[in-house]
Amino acid sequence: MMPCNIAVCVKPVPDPNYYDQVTIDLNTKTIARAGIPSIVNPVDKNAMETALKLKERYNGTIAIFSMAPISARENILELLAMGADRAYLLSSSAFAGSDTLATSYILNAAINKAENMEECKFDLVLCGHESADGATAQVPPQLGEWRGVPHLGNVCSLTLTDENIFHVTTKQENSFIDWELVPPAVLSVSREINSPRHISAVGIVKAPKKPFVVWERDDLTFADNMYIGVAGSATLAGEVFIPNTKRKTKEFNGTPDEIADIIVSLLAKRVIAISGLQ
Amino acid sequence: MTKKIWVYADIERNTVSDITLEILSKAQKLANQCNDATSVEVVLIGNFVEHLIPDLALAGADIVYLLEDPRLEFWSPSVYIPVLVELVSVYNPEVFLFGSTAQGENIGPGLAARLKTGMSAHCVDLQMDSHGMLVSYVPAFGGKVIGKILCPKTLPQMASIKPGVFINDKSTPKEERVVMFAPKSLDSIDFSKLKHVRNRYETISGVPITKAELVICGGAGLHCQEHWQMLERIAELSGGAIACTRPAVDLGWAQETSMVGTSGCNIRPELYIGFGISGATHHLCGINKAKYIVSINSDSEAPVFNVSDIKIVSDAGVILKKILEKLGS
Repeated sequence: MMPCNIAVCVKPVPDPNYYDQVTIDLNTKTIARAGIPSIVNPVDKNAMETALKLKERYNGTIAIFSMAPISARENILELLAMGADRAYLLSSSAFAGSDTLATSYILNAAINKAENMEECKFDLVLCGHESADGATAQVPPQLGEWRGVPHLGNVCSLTLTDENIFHVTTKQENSFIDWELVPPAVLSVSREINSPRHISAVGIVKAPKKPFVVWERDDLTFADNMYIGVAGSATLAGEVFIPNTKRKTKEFNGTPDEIADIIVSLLAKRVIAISGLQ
Repeated sequence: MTKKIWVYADIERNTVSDITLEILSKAQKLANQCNDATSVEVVLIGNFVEHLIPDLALAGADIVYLLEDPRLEFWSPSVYIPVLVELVSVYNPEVFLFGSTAQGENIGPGLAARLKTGMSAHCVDLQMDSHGMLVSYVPAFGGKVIGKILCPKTLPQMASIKPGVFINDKSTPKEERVVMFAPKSLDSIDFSKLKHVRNRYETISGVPITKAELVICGGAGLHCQEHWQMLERIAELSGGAIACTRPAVDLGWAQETSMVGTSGCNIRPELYIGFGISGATHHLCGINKAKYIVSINSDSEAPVFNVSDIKIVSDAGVILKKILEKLGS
């Protein structure tokens, strides 16, 4: 059996439990999220768990790639503690404001450089299906295109056969699709694929000793530098606003019996004529 | 010269998906907003899909590009993307819209990368500005914030739209006009790298939530599976569709297909009744087009009450039990 080398792409995101605290700075017209802690995008840990399971069975190495501010080091250490072998943090003011086209372009350049340096080819690049904050789900398929390899999203099952073919299951609206895939490839996984393991004390001790590389703009080689940062993005972010979804709420007070009566009448008529509202 | 708004036809089980009709309906409104003559055109890919052309013309497609080949029977990013690159480079549409479905999410962004153009994801609205540019309204942070996105430098301007965001209302039926296209790129694709093996369909019972007039929704506030089963029974008795939030899926009560919100679907029923829903941002973003929202939750401060028409502070489990008694079951 061949060893399986895996790159896992991760994104630090503001903790989704605090999204009701996100506001807009009315002066700068930008999103204000001060005080919201940064965590590893939850489904990226499922990608990490997928990589760990493959490594346990087939050996190989796991490298983390993340494009984020230098402060993301803490988040990346968590993945090293889970069992990744090394990490590459791509951090440069030149990368700021990158859209999905630019982000996937930069990730690809970094993965290529790591492959050349380590003289190892990645059989798989694994990602979480979408990030909690932007939730576009666009980076994985775009990364697949930059790399010129097959890609699939919403992967809910993944096994490697002795013939070095992956059996992949993806989910769609009302069905599952089974695929056979010859690596290398880029796959983005959904939450159902597994339950990410907890970090062990040993893992926490080992993590800071593992190779942790920071690459800036000039450390990477780009075939052309058209697709980096705001200037290299194909999309342009305009005005942001908070949609007003508030309604004129009326409260109904009553015993459970009275409440149930109201609901039953709603279910029967589906029209709203409730007396006793305050 | 006539401008073109393209819509990717999402074909599932040999029929045109609702999302395609919803986008087609919106695309006609966008075309009407343009100063220049603009036609709404559909890209139809598959094997034996020609019979779907009348449906698309009836739904307002001015032109249908038909790409039929046995090698195109199943969608695959490795096959459909190169074929679409070729089609786009011949006809140069100004706008290309996809559904945020499995097909759309696998194919659209990859196509955008190959064309080095911009794509905005999971739009909740689309407009044409006075310069004829597409303005996409994109949710972030679970829908708490909406941002406007433009694609100013390159064509086509691409966007994906979630099912249930637009209404498939009366379209103007068009004459059937078909452009047959035989992609040359098919001959140079390596089909051995990614093979579609089989499609396994789930049996979905009951009313689909995106179409339902009555939606009964349960969340973590139900506390136990027994209460969830009561909710299912009530939905069955009243002909409503069952919806849920993320915790109900994680606890193994509900199917992910019934999840409503940013990572599920958007709904627009006449009446939504939420039992034990606290109102996380990502869920509220999926229900705000419901005509009437009734919420039952024991926490009087639950955020869901801010977006509700009727607020009932009570234990959802107790109320469910009472309702079942009254429904005689």
